[in-house]
Amino acid sequence: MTTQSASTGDSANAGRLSGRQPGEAGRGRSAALLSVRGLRVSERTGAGRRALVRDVTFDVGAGEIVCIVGESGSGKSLSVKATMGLLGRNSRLETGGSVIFDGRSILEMRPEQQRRLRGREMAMVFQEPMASLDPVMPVGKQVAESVQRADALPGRQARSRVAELFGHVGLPDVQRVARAYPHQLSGGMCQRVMIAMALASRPRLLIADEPTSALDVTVQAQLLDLLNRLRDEETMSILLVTHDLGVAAAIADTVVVMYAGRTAEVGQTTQILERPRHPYTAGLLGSVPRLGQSRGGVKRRLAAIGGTVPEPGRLPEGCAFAPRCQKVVERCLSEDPPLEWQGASAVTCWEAPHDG
Amino acid sequence: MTATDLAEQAEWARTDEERSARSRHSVTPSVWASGVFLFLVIFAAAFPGLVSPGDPLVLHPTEVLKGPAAGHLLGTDAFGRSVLALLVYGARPALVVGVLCAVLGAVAGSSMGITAGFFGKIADQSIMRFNDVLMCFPGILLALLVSAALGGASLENEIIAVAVGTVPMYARVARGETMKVRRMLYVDAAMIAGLPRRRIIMRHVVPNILAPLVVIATLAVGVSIVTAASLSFLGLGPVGGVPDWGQLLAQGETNISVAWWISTFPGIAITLVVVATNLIGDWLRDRLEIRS
Amino acid sequence: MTADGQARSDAPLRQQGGPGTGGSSGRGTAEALLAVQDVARHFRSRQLTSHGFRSTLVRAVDGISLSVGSGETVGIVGESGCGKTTLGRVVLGLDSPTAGRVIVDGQDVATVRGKARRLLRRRVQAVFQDPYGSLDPRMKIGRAVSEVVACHNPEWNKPEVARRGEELLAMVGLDSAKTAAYPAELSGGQRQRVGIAKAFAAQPDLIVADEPVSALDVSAQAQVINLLVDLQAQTGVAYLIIGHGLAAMEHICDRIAVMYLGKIVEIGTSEAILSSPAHHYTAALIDSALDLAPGPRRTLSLLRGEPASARAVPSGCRFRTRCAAAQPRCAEQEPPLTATHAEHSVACFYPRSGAVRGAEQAALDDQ
Repeated sequence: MTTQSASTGDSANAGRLSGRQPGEAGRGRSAALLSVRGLRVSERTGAGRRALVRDVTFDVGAGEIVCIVGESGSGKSLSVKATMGLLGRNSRLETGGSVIFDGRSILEMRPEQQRRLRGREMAMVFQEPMASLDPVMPVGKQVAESVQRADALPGRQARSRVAELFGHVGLPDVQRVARAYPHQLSGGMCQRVMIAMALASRPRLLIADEPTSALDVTVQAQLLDLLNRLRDEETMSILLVTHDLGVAAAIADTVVVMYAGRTAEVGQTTQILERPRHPYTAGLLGSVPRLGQSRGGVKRRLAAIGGTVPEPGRLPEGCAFAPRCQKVVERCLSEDPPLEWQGASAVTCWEAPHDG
Repeated sequence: MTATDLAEQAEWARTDEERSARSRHSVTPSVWASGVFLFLVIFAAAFPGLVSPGDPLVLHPTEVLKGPAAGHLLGTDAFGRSVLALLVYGARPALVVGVLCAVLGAVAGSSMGITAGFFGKIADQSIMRFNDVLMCFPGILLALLVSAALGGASLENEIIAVAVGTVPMYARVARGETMKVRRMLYVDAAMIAGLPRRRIIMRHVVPNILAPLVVIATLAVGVSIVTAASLSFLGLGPVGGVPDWGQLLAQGETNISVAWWISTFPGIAITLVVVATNLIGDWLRDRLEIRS
Repeated sequence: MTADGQARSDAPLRQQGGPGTGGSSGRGTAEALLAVQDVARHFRSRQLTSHGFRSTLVRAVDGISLSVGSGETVGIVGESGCGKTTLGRVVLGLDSPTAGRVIVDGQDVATVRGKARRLLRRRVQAVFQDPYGSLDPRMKIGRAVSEVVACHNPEWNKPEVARRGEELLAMVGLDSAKTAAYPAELSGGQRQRVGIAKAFAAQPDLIVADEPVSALDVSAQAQVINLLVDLQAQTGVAYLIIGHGLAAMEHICDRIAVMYLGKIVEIGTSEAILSSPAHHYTAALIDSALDLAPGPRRTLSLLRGEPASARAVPSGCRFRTRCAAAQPRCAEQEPPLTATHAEHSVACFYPRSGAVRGAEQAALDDQ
């Protein structure tokens, strides 16, 4: 089996050399709902251009949950915003690459078209649910507004649709919650309200940016359960951004690992967790403490990755991870490895293990 | 209003803010002009001999109350002294008083505010109620009272009286900022680490509240100059020597119908200096706000 | 600094004869370094509701007793609103307890005054959750650390203070080039190291760490956890760690106390708590913890409802509103903390027995 490579600028041909598109292997579908190739975001500063997102490539299939995992400085939130076309008005940022949603190129659309798409087929949920809601309006009314935008329903029907949505996301005591103000609800409930709002337009893709980071672990478990259910029952695709590998392990079908503005590795969850191909992924997995690992009274050292994440604009020559990498060789210091596909998995590393 | 709308708005708000921040950062022509003007005034105050056409105390008895003309550019006063020369020599006392009052007021007012904000409770209540009493009086009235209490006309009394009037401005702001910083985690950390409170105040509170106080001080220079000029106008200023701008104004008042220039030019000078310091102060505030 | 962030061990950490080289409780003696006895901390909070101002009593900490021995690491886990941060503040002296006593090295902190009190307080230092907020943004980090050193060693001169400051920074893995850096120039992990250096500058016997790694990136978390463990091995300091990540807590702590709504519901050795939790809340926390085990997904949510608020504490057992095993008795009486084995106590009338089987645990057991 040959490996295919897609160099950073060659977005048009990425992934096409192999017969299979990424994300297909597990699902057997031929066309991805969302296809991102070579996404770039740079910032124009006084001293030239600073690349914040250098090359992001991944697919989201219908009914698939894809998790983008990365630490601060990885560019994950910016990538997702660029995917939704939210960066158009910022004159200091330049976006490049291709983002194809259902056969349409988002980055080439006009702003109104992008907005229509965002309101209908794509929806987004954020980290701080209480900050996203209007504090002086009952939440039921806010969701009703979304419903009316999406379906143009009259008042009473909108309200019953709101009740339906609330039930769908697992909110108890629907009437009471609908009348409540955001500060009267807990973080977990607010987040469910946000999801209900997002579902109003029956989106095909739900994008969630760190939706559970601000929540307690028991509430987080409930919410991830909900996302699972939505994927199963509605065949909704979910693109979830997180810094927590555990979240990805819990619900993702495909994991995209980002480092310093680039895709480090893409693959199915099981493969990423059991046989990571990129040293950064392996390092992350090794450095996370696991329950049961330190039993028997012995405090074991965690296999931490040394060094710190490089700042955008101050990246080393060659591979950005090289200074911290255990498997670094000469070539890594001068040449930045391209994204190489192997079936459903891709990696940017000269030393990545190959099967077959 | 959907979540995606909110995302859009957040992005746009950030873009707009960046754009306006950049424009605030720039130095506008009026700020330049103020800077240049103040530089000239400071120069005149430092080296009046170089700027002035002559000694202000020289009398020209033949040219009493003459209007602006070739010989005396801004006219002469009732004693035949050149108004221009008087104006130039008056710059120093004006600036000295302005700056000294600003500094004095800053030190006194900020100390009060910091003490009130840091220690709270009784200290806070007593200091701020005293501050409220100060604020009850209109600036000039308070200056009059203090001046009278201190024993009347002299330069020192004038400076103290004017400074007292500026204290409330600093005290309020210093107290608010101190309370904000007091709640910061690094102050808690310093207290746990065992640092004495005086050290915490000097090393951690003061540097972090300096910015707004500096802005107030800049603006206070203008206020002080006006108030000091008012006191001098009323006869409570320094005695003898070269009349300062306020005293010039007073002198011109009696002759205003026949010799408008004696009051007008000092008045314009005061106004311009105050406007210039205000513009610089505003620009400073914008710059420092951006940084924080 | 070695590749994985291990602290250099060549810098002497404990000076001879300084405070904190033992006190009245040497290492390994029975007397606890810190003893918290029935501590409660209530707040009055006024809220504007639709019925006007309502004043409610927030029972943030409602009767906690625990002890930390010299050189030991005790962890407190719980979700938001359980009062663990408030407990930390009371132990550090930032808040006074509404009831109960905080005893450091045999002395009640509240009864000691003046210089003796200051000396006592200095033996308990803190590392905070927020690596950004806990450092003065306008002070270079070298100054920040040497400031603490100078405060505790007033007889030293400047070069001695500076040298000790650099030693401390080296101890936490920051090289001397960083001495002149401002906090804004450092990463989150590096800032947290500075915070740790400051805490050790006072030569404490006990360090209270409030969520020391929660605000850091994953890779920095591992480095800082390793650093804390290394420093403890080198200095013999005791830790009281407040956190919510169970796996990390198991890694660092000897004993763990689980808090819910102001009270400890279970306390014991890490191993006992995490392998055979007796309280239903503990079991739920363990099951909710996300692990990295691949394989078929299990249903994640096990708890009903939302965490209750410290403003309206349920009668009897506080946890009964969310507990699947609640019985009528749980609403009438509050279960006391009772020992089930040596070093393992639980506050429940119907405690669980047997081990919890999270997926990872199952995988480990199957090996």
